[in-house]
Amino acid sequence: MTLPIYLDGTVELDRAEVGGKAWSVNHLRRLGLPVPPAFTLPTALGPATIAAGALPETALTALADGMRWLEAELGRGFGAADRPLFVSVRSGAAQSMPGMMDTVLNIGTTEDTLKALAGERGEAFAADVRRRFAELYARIVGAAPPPDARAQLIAAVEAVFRSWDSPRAVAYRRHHGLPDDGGTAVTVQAMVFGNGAEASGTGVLFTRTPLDGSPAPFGEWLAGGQGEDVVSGRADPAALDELAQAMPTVHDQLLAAAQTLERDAREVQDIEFTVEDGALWLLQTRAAKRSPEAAVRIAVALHREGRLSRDEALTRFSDDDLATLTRPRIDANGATVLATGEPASPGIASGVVVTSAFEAEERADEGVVLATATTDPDDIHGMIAATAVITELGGATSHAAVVSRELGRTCVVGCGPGTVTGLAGRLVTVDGGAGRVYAGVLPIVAPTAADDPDLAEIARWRAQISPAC
Amino acid sequence: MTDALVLLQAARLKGRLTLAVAQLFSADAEAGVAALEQAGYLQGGPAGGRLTPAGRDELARLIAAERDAADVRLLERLYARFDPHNSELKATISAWQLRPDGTPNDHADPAYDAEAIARLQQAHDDASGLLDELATAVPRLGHYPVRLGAAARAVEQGDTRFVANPLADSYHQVWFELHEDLLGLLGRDREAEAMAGRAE
Repeated sequence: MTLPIYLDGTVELDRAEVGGKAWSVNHLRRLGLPVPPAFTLPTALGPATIAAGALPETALTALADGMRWLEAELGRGFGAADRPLFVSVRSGAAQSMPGMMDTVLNIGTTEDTLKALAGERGEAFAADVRRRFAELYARIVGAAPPPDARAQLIAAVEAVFRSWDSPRAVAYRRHHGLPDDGGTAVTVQAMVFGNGAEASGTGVLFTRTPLDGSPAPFGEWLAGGQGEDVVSGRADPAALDELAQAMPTVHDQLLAAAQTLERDAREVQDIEFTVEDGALWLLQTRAAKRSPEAAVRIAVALHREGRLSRDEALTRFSDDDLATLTRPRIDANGATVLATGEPASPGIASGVVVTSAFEAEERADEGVVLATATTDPDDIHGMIAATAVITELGGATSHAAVVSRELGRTCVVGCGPGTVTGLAGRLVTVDGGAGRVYAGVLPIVAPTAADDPDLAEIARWRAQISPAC
Repeated sequence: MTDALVLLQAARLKGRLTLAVAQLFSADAEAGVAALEQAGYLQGGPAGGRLTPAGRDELARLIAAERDAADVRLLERLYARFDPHNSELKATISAWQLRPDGTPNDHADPAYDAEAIARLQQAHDDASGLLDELATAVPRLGHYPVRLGAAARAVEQGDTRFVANPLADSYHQVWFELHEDLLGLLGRDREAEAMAGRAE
């Protein structure tokens, strides 16, 4: 095997060998999509590094070759005073586990490179990189970063190989009966920056809307932003329309890439991307997290589009997801909301409000809703007897919330002092998932195949698989 | 006599006091429960004994007497140290019950669950010193560290009911009872604590 492993898309790679991220980078290149260039030092180099306490000669050579390739790909120089190259170093293994190293970013941060970066992207950003690099490096590698770029890189790579033996990783493997051979690979990837006034930014794109699965792409774009700002929710992003207006070519390229990725995976994608000086780069793509409803609708849609067989489509959602779709929901038309609070445990339940656990037990047969300021340990039997629990004080970690979740009891907490104990004797309906208490017993509607074409389709599939007698 | 307080408190915290539950609190449970029933403080029943109104009054009286005789300044100091452990424990239980995005944890991800359990064990280890100090200051509270340790061990051995199930002597349940006990000891009101952001 040639070292390093260049993630240039020329061959399909083995996930177990290089880790999920590296496999993905290589796969994107195979699809002809723009991804920041990267190379991997395989797991095989780990044991020698750990035994010697430092990278062996073969690894150092591979590292140097890899870096030269990155420089050539981007026309930048590692540690250079003009057009500097920054890289990230991350671990990658067949199986992720606690204790394995987080990614170190901005390696190659030196006085010279920071000057050049300031020229390219502004003083404020360069100062930010300086600070973030020092903090992250110290936290992950465990020492202050050396001033020399190459020394930083070597130390980070060594730290990744060593992290396979970190106490938490070892404990995890022990606990799960996993073998200690295996190790981790190290991937070095060029960094691209979305900061900067001109033609730069960062964003995420879902190939379908994650809330309900409708086929419209859904995304967010932060002009001039750095990746973590969008993902962490720190900045307030705009819709993708703004990208379409500002950089129509990039926008079209992005949508085309999205189509390619969704077709290739036959699955809705969650794509992180950066635009650096008018050039689009894809950072990451993965199966999009979606609501249970979206899971069902997307599976049916992909089947209708001919991408998934019926049997494949059936694997794309669980019985729980389907239950969400068919779950009874309140018809709240014209309903009066008596109280709102924090949803603590989902469900819909109605009953007459009582304000003591004792009364809840006594009147359980009527169907009661227990309303208190807070709950005490000895309220437990009343909580079991009630159809729902609503409280005035407390939040998601309160006793009422914790216990209701364990019991699977509809619960809303923290409605506010005096708001629900004052409802004693009234009939109410509680929507635990929405955190609302309505007046009266509200009609509950349960969607069926008769009013939902997707549910009808699934019913047909199931009938085909196991025809009812 | 101290046992009367322990058992009445147990009845109050658990709602129903079976012999098995009483034995978690007191070594001489059988005789103790019988005495309380004789005195009219506990009403026996098929699902376990319940506090009578007289029993509640007696419990309140005994706790007030305990408070008068206690080193309140020491207890206040210990309670102040309890607060951060309480917050961490609650966050740990949350991490077990909910995914980071707030959706219920379906326990389909063993790595996530392992992390949550490790965090619980860590919280227990961190609190153990304080728990022992509490038991030294108020010997009646001695069963709490024992029961918390038992719950932690059960979780470690894979019985996850002992994380938070309210009907088992789970970690969250016992911790909550301890907190309730401390509030009574210090004459604090749970609602006031909740509004101060400490109880809830």
